[in-house]
Amino acid sequence: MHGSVFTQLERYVVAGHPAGTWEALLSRAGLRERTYDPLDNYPDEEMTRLVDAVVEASGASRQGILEDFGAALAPALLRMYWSLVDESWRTLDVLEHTEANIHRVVRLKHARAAPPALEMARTRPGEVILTYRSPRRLCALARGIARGIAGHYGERLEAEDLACVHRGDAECVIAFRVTEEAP
Amino acid sequence: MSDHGGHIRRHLRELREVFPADRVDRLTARLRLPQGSQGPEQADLAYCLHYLEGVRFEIGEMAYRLARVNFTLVGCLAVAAAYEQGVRQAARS
Repeated sequence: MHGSVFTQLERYVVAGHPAGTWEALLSRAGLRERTYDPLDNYPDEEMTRLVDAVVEASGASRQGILEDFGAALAPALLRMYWSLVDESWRTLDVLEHTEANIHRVVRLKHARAAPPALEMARTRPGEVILTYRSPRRLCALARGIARGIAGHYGERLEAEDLACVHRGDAECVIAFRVTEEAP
Repeated sequence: MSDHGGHIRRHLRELREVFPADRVDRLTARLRLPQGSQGPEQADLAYCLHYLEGVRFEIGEMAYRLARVNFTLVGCLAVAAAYEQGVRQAARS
């Protein structure tokens, strides 16, 4: 997984928490003294251990943590990789182009980052259908990232789970609809 | 053909979202842009490299590394590398 996700997890964890929170979390995850470079790649398993540690420490649900983190992660990724995002795009455009423009380039430049293969279909105006298939089973993170993108553009996004691996389906299918501009 | 000036202007806008204004102003001053400038109207490959050096010096190493990634993605640096190689070859001949 790309290092930028790890460094943003650190930001997410330390926001509003006392000094030493991240170090305590690393320790809980068995990753004491680990440092992450936002331009390098790291094993997926380390992200799993870190998210497990956040869930244990916070008592919140795993899906809730992932979605909330995704919402925090998205604006940072949009800023870090501005060159992959056309300035004229809005939420659904970014979602629609994530696979073809963003993940494709990430795979070319960072062979070990392995972003999930996404299918995005612009089914009608104001709606994108995401089909997510990944052994990481991080559909909640994807949902949160979409929410964060909408927040970045000041738009309001509805997400409807049409199918989900966590409910026993073979894949996750989420309908994203922009309903209106956020106040 | 890559719009180097456009990429630099966009990068400056992105920097202003994240870094204190005085640091970005120091960068534009280093580039000898007029005060309040949004960036160069046009830029050649050498200017792109000069710009990135300025980012490294005034903003920092991580901003420079991220800028390099983005400038490579938009095609500035691949061409710049070829340009530098051409300059070196011309100097040797």
